[in-house]
Amino acid sequence: MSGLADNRPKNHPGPFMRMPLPLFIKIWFGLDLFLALFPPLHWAASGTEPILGMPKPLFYLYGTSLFIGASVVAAYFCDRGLGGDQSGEH
Amino acid sequence: MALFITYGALALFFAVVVLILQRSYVADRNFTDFAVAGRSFSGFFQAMAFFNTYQPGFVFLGSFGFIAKTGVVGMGISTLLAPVVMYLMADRVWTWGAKYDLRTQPDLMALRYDSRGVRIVAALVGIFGLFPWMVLGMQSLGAVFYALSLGHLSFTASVVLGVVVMTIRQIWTIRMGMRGIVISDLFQGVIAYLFGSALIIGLIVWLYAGGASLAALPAEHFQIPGPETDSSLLFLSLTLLPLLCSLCWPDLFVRLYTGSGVASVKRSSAYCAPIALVFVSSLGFLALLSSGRPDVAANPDAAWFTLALAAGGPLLLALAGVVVFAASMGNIDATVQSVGAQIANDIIGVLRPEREAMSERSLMLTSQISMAAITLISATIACLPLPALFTIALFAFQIMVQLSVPLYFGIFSKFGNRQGAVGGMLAGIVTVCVLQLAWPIGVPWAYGLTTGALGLAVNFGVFVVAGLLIRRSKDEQARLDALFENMATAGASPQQTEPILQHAES
Repeated sequence: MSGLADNRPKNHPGPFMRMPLPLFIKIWFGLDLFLALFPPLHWAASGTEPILGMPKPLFYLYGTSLFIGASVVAAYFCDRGLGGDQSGEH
Repeated sequence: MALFITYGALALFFAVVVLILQRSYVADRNFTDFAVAGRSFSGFFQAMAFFNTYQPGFVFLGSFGFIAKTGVVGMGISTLLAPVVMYLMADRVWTWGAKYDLRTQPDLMALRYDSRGVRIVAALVGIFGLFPWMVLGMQSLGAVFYALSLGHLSFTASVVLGVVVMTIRQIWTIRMGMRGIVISDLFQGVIAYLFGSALIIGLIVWLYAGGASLAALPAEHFQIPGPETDSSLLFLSLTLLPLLCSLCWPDLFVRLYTGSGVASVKRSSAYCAPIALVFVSSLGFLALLSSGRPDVAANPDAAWFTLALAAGGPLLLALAGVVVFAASMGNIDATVQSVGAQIANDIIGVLRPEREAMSERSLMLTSQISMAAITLISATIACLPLPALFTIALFAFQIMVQLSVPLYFGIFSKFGNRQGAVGGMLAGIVTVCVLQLAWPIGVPWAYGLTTGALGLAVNFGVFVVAGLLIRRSKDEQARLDALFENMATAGASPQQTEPILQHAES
């Protein structure tokens, strides 16, 4: 294990990476994985019944894709770590 | 006349790519320039480079055909998750890359685990995993030349023609290294994925106008195997493994180094997500919608060209061909460069005695010679009749994904050690090889999971057990603390870099 003591300094790097992202973005990323990888959701999405006019599996696939794609864009705009590092573009 | 239009479009596209490369030529100063383009590119360049590497021409052929044949089960969402992984890795990978002058994926593995063994195993896995896909990429070009010949060329002659064209293209890849690849990726990416998306949407509209409907498709096309089947985890496997493998592809991973900063890499992820949403979703929808057509069902792998020819004649066929040509070219370039860089940097460079360390010039030259050799070998193999090539490529994919355990643990946590990294990868690979002999597609007693997923479980187990049982020395703990602690040195110039291996085992 990392061997870090509990009384490590406040800014000491923990065993896992700290990301300069708001909590809701981290939760959003977690939900991305849940939606994409939870088998019961896959099974529930199977079939031809329509949801909002499209077959159930397409609603699941496109809804999840939209949810995931939006999370990355939102993360970029909310990333506190990018405050002074946006000038590298050319 | 039709042949003039179709082949003329390919020739024009190829000429524009060469013109762009000739006009943008800058001599590389060192191996870092050659391997990662001096860490100088902006987010949009990187986004197009990401697509050229992750979405090769094969997605218009084999992947399109797979969806047309099997339905929604072939429409994974892993392509949307890859930008999430890239975003999360950006801080650490780019910063370590700049500070320690990392040029390849095994470079980072060696840095994290302070181990030559991890570096060599990772490089061999990467090279072995990429090679069959390079051959497949060249054969994909054969499919383009065959479709655009409108029956004037045999398939074998088309493959040879495609291989010759791609071999000529590699002259610029070898000469210009990563800088040439990223610059050409921008143009190729705009054609393949932005113009390609427009073409896909146009074909969807054309199909609907012609009366096509999802309602007319068989119900099996909308089924995802459930718990009552013996492949209930197949869809999970088809999503999880490409997701885990995404940034394990050495040619894709190295794109993170080419950005001009952490912000550029993150911006490229923010570009990739919406572009992937439109491109992947519309391509999958087109494949599904067209699957009811007899001409598509007759030859699903060529459906992209069949639809284009039916909708717009030779002109639209030519444009469809250029789209696949652009996507294939970008992917093969990146693969050739990545394999060459790893052979020089992580195999030959590492196996030489310490006192005979290779100079920057020697690394570049060795890499260029390796790239030329790999190109000629894969070109020769691509011209041979190899019916099992796709099976071999899938096998290579199951091997490649074994990199993910030490790679992701190594980047996102301090947990683990070099013994677990090497032992886990080797145990995972052995598991895949043994299971693959009996169950090449999915393992029935594992609910349809692929051999790569089971190999990952073994790999993960070995990595965790080794991490728990083998205690770190104080020196190693201090080295890791220092490595993870200071993320404020982003932007360090190559002159400020520190050695990758500090206390490595010999």
